[in-house]
Amino acid sequence: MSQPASQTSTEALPPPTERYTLWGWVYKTLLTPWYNLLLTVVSLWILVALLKGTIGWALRARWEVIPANIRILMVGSYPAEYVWRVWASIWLVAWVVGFSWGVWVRRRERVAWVLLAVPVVLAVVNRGPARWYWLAALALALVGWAVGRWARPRKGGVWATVQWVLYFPVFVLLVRGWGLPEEPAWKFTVAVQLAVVVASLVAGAWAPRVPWVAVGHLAVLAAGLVLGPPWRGALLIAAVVGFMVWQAARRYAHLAGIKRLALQVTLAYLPLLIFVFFAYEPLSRTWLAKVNSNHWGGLLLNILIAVFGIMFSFPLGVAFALGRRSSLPVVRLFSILYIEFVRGVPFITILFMAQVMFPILLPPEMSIDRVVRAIMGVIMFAAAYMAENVRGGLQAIPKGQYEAAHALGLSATQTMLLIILPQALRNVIPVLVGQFIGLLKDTTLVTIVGLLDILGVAQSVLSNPTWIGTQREVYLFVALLFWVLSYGMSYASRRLEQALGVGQR
Amino acid sequence: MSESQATLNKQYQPSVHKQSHARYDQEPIIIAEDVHKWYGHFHALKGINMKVWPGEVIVIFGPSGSGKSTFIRCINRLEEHQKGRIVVDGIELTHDVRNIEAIRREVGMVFQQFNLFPHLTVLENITLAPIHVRKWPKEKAEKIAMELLARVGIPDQAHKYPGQLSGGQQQRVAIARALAMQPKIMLFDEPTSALDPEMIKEVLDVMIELAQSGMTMLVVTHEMGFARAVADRMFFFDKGQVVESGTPEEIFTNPKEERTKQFLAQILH
Ligand SMILES: Nc1ncnc2c1ncn2[C@@H]1O[C@H](COP(=O)(O)OP(=O)(O)OP(=O)(O)O)[C@@H](O)[C@H]1O
Ligand SMILES: [Mg+2]
Repeated sequence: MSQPASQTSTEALPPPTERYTLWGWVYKTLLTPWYNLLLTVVSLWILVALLKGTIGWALRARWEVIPANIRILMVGSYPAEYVWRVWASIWLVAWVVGFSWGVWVRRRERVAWVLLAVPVVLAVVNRGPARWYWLAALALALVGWAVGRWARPRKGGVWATVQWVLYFPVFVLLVRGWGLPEEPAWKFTVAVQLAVVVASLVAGAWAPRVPWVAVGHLAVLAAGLVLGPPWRGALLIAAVVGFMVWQAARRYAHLAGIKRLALQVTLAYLPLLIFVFFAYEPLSRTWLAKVNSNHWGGLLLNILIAVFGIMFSFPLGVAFALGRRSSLPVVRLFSILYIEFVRGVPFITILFMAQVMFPILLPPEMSIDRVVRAIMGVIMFAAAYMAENVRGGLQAIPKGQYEAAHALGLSATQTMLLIILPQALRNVIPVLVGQFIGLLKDTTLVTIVGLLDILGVAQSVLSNPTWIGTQREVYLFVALLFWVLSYGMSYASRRLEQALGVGQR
Repeated sequence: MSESQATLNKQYQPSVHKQSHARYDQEPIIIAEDVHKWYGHFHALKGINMKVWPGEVIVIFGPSGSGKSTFIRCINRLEEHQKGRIVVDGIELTHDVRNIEAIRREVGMVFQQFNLFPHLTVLENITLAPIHVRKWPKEKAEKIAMELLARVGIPDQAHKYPGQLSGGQQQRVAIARALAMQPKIMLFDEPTSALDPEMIKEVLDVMIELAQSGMTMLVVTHEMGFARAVADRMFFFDKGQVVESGTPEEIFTNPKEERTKQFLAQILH
């Protein structure tokens, strides 16, 4: 019996490939058999009919409504002299995205065309200084990318993470600006507070076995009680924070990094002091003056609400997820009640309740404005869903992981922080990104409680007699903006997941 | 018994000159007295008595569901016994969390399913507990981890993730991870049952080397070649009780109980 050679040889063969010419593909999929031809003709006819109408409208549309109102659509009544701060935060995010891309997505020289297209298109369609600002963002993204590629992978990964963690507070501090404390002695209280914290860190890191440092904290507390306001509150905070920092430093004193950190913080104390005494006040009177939240508007308000929402609902959600699995009945019951209550109520209801309830719940001297109330509503709402997503991640961790950690002598807290949460959170990254995107889009609902986010601004533009009848243009523009933002986020996260190997290990 | 001897020879045959390290002159390091355990209404352990001396290698075997895992998991408190007394290295297992943590530091455990931490590299798996529980500096922990990886025969895999290793390599990492805490006692719960035949040998070789270094070991296994080579005593479990115990010679050549004979006949064929 003669066997074909290919069956007996053991050499590896390339997988079979089907190759089409363009015409071959058209012929095979669109023209034969007869029903495909019929479908092709019908779809083409529908397509032409639709496009004719759309293109005709798009050519006649009054697009000038967008450039004429672009500033209020983007930032609402944010003061013109501070808009550069918004640009600065765009440049920063361009840098951070570029850098992370260079570090994390280095395989196969792939360039993020989709992400690069955003500043390029914006630079093309804009005129005047805005064009140059977008080009600057593009340049920063490219430089960041180059630097990220050049950095060593492990170090670069740490740096990228640090930059992302720092970005959000920096963004908030830039856009919101710095307020001036009313208390005249604030510089001195802050200086003492910082000193207590630095001293606690140093003591914990260098002499972890000396327990009587706690006496120092008690002394700080006592001094505060004796001195009275404003020192009472300041020293109370200093003693509590200092004690916690000391405990944490003691606990991790065996790690090499802690002593270095303590040293760096000590060295940073003097510049920090100079900053507090000489730089903070002038800066907060001029360049970085506080912009009250009633001036936040347009797309900036949507993004601010989303950023605050993500920043605070994430830790809160993790806490509720852990609470729901806690062995303490009270904690578990509270978590379940909270999660199920919030999930059972429509988002809009929560937004309205946040507007009317918080003023009742809080003491009268703590008046908070409408924007902050809306943000708190968003945080409450998002935290409950975040908790359920995180809980899903926790449930997927096999029992053996807990057992192995316990058998090694790790405490329950260590097991959770070092073994379970890192795996659980990594597994739910795709779900969480989906939730963040949903959160960003849901922020437009604050229009209903009367805030001037981009949708609110759009409505007020449309009620202006000059722009009557431009609904299509304006809403299409808003839709396009959200699509770009959402698609950009999901695209970036998908590529990052691939690069980080989520779901592969 | 020549028949079972013949099948024994077909199984894994380590070439070891048998030599016990048991120190019977010292106090027992594990004392279990009348240990009972219930899962709901199911009586899983019905009064287990066992004393283990330092340096002894104990093999526990028996049919599925007989309580072998339950018993050795009681020794490091992964399961809680409800009646009787367990004393490990002079510390009695009670509800006191500090006792439990103290015992877990002295007792290492290797699982059937390896249970490595998939998000950490091999080196991080091994150094985690020494750094966070023993509070060693990272450099010291890493140095000892590298020595252990060399000892279990995979010094070149330190920076890989567990998912990138074969089953046998993963189980050897798990052994190194447990040894990194420098335990006095090692527990093994069917360490080779999830492995392909070719990989069983590489893990058993590591365990035999460990036994010969004088480690106190409690091993749940059906690898009778291993038992014959290094076990000091064997315990046959059935239905939550110790049916028979003795030296490997006694168990293999002259089992007293009918149940033991039947079971040995089953697994040796
Ligand atoms: N968490 C549990 N809840 C209820 N019953 C359990 C639990 N764990 C074990 N059991 C029961 O206790 C008995 C002893 O189980 P154990 O796992 O100790 O058996 P084993 O001897 O290790 O068996 P195997 O060889 O299959 O691993 C079995 O009947 C099992 O069904
Ligand atoms: Mg078992």
